Amino acid sequence: MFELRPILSALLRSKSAPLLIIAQLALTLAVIANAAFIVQERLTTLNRDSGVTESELLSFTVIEMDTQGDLMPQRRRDEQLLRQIPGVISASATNQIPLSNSGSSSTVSSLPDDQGNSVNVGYYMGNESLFDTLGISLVAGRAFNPTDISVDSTMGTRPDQALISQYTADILFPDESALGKLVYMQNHPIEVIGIMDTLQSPWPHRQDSYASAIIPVETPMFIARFMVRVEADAMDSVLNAVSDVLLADNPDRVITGIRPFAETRDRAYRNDTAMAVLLSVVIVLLLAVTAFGIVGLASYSVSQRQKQIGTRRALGATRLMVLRHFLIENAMICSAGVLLGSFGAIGLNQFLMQNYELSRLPLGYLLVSLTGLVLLGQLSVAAPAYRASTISPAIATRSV
Amino acid sequence: MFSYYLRLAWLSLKQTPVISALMVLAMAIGIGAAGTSLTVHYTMSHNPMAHKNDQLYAVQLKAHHDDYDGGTSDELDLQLTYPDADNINRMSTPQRSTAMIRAGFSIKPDDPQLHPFMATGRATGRDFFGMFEVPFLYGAPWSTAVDTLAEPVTVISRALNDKLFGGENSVGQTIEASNHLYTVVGVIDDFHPQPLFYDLNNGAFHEPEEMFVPFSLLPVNKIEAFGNRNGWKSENLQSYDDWLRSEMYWVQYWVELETPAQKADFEQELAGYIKQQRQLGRMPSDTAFASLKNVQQWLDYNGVVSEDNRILLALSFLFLLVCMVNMIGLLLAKFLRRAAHTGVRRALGASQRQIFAQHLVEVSLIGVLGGGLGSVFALVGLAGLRQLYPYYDQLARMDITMLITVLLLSLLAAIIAGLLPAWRVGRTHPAHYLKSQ
Amino acid sequence: MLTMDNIGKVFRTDLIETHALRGFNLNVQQGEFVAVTGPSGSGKTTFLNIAGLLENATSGKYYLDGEEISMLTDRERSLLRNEKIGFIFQGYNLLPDLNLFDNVDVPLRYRGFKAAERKRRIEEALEQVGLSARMKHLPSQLSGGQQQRVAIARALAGSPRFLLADEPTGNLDSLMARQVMELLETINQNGTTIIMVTHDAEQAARAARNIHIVDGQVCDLALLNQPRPSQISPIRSAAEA
Repeated sequence: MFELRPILSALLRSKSAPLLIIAQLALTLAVIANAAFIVQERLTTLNRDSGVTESELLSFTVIEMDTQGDLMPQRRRDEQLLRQIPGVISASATNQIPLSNSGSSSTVSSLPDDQGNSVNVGYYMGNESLFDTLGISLVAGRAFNPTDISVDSTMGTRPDQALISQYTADILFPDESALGKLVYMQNHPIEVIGIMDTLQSPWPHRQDSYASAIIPVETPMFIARFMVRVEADAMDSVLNAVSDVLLADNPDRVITGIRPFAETRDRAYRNDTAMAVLLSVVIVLLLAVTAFGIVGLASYSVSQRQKQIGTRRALGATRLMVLRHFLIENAMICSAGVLLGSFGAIGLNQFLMQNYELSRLPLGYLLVSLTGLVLLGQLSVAAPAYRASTISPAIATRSV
Repeated sequence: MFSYYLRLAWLSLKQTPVISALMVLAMAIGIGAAGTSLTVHYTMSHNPMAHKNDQLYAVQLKAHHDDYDGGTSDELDLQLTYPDADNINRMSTPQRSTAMIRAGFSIKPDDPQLHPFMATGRATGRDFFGMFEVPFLYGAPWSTAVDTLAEPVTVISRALNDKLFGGENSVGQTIEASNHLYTVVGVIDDFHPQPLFYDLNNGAFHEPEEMFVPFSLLPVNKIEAFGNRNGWKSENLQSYDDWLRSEMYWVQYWVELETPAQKADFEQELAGYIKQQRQLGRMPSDTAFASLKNVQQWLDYNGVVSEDNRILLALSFLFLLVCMVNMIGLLLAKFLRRAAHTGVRRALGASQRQIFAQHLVEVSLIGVLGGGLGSVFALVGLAGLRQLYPYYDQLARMDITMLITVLLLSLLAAIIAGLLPAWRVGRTHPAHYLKSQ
Repeated sequence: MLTMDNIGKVFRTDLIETHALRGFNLNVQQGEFVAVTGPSGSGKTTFLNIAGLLENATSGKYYLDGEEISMLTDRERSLLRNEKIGFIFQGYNLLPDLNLFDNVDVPLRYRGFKAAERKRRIEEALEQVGLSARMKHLPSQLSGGQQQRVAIARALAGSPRFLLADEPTGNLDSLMARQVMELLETINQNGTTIIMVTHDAEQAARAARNIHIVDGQVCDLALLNQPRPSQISPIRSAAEA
């Protein structure tokens, strides 16, 4: 019933038009399979869990005018003032904010003298309240007590204890529990007293983005970050109150970057979001152009073959048979296109992998994309094919 | 003849409005995509100091041991240690040179009603303004003497001057910034080099700083760096002075060298300096070396053009290619449908070349229409980009050069797409179509 | 086997109504060879289109093998066309992209025959028109007369009850035209009913029965000859034997 071979042999003889659709489909497939894959990778990246209770957190930066005096009393008072704002659950001064792309990191190794396993760890500093403020969970060990906390007024931090993330623990001690072990930061031994489930560092795009630690050290630096955990419905009111409350206590400083964590996240992944949006637009436009192309060429082919179609009808083809003829013809062209395009997609993927940070294109993407394209081809050809099926068989007897 | 072909082309487009519209639209979409990413790429890869490219050099030194990797292609750190910067400042070869750090100042307005606010800052040398051709609205850079005597003076941006002094000539006025008083000696006029080539550590596309103070003030006012600070050595840094003595990388350095000979001399001087430092027990690596990179090399080295942008550029040109293939198909369809008319023209004496020319003119017309519409699409695309990337505000704008480039690109794309169809229709045998049909 | 009863066909445009056929009556018996003549614009082609189920009449009744066809769906009419009617066109209407074998194959595919059956019929039909050696050639590689013979083979391959020929020799020189006419006569002698539209009086004279159409009406039904009696062995039974 399906006249595959005659359609094919006819196709093989009509040179350029099907070749052009094949070329177009091949290029389209190569681009959309890779673009869709990049979009998916970016979406995965930007939906990763940072480990903190994002919906309840806000953060801001305080820069003191006086950079040299002892800022510790002011800092403690600030924490107190923040905790008194209605709706605030917990508030802590620290040195960095997750996903903010700004902070402190250091190489940490499992043995002294840079021996053993090592990883670059983003470390959060603060007092015992920081753990609760961030809202992270422990998988082993304990959090800090007030007695664990020390104050260090310089950047030469020398903690004795640390909480490290599970990710860090797995790198440093792949075969055993890290709990109670010593790790070395600039050759200084630190005891691991607790292991956190998940805590992302300030750098979402670093390879070891989840390598993080909390150390029980307060720093009276002139610049401080504050993390504030609030009840969900109090977010807006606390955001508005922060600046007034702190400046009322001491106006000689700058309070800046007051924003909910959701905004910090948006900023961190802005490029990924933008890339995902742009590539999605490219995919949609490309599909539209390709569909238009198929509609255009199929319409042309139908009007060009009116007499042939009429003849077929006169010879007894039903409308359905004519319709099917065009659908099959299109399916054949599209199959050739996507077959060629599969090689193109893999080639483009290889090129992108060599030149940029991109992983290998999973076969699934290719299959979904090529199935989608064949379906798009069938949809695009539907209207011209329907028009072909309505051509009157009487056209066969017309002499011009 | 050209105007005749143009009239024929217009008639032909009107005869097949749907297929013509499809072609113009496809071309416009392709040009819109390519034009958008090309504009961004063009701005990103712009060298604002192209005219002085071979005179300005960023200086790097390998002060670290071989285990450390600055994360760059040659494993150098992007910045210098303070002691090295201070020592290079004393070298005689460079015509002009400056050490600098990114800073931030909390400024206390005179009006007690107003809250203090942050101003971005830079501690740098006098030569900064000359080397990078900074225009002055009022006053002038501080004197050479200030670079050694460390007087609390400042050059401020026009925006900060507007904010603090209502745009008046503020030379001689003072500003209280981070608990120190600075006397204004100059106000910078419009100065927006993009990318901001001299310090790419914290992004390449943002405004220059608002407040410039002498680098010599670092030990005096203990000005904190707001940029990156990288260490390769375990050091116990307790005070600001410890920092100044440390092996931390946190200072940027630029020199101006007028001739290749001067550059060679300076490289010689740096090599001698490294040798001397190694004798003093610094610079543990046997392969300690200095590197001078001109502005373009510096931009490339820092990867100013983002990977995403390169991918988008590549994909958008593949997109344009799809649109061109699409157009070839539609053109073939359109031209060959008219083959009978062409047969008549051939019979009436048109040469193959004339038929070819006639159809190329038609294709070019589509290219121009598509390019015009595509430029509009590109403008829409750029507006969309500015929404997606706030820091693209300066970046995603089309100038006349880009507009002309985009239009030429569309014309070129259309002509390339039209070559095959025009050639095919030019080759039609007149007799074949005149016989019976 | 073919009866037209008061058939009318009107073409309407915004401005005018054209009556291509009006009050058209005709009765064709099994095995007849009917030539239809008439001046240009008389309605010959319209008659052929209606007779071949290519178009519907505006009014009147048309019986094919006793079946009234105006009530049939497009699909039913297509199948009927495929099974009972063979077409031969002035312009041959071969599909240029298909070789001879595939061209003759076209109606058989629609008929749904098995591959072996199709192959046998195609080879037989091409044999009958003397072109079995050129099965793999494209139509463009043949002369006009050969192309028309392929078209006849295509019309015959499905063993139709009758052939409709529209100026079958119109594009051919006299020698080739004679060959085609002789072929048609042979086919008719084998039992297939033929209705042939022509403007060539000489050819019309060779037919057993002549119909003249003027202004959409059967003007002069001159029965110059009595219809031939039906032959016993139509081509189908010959093929099946």
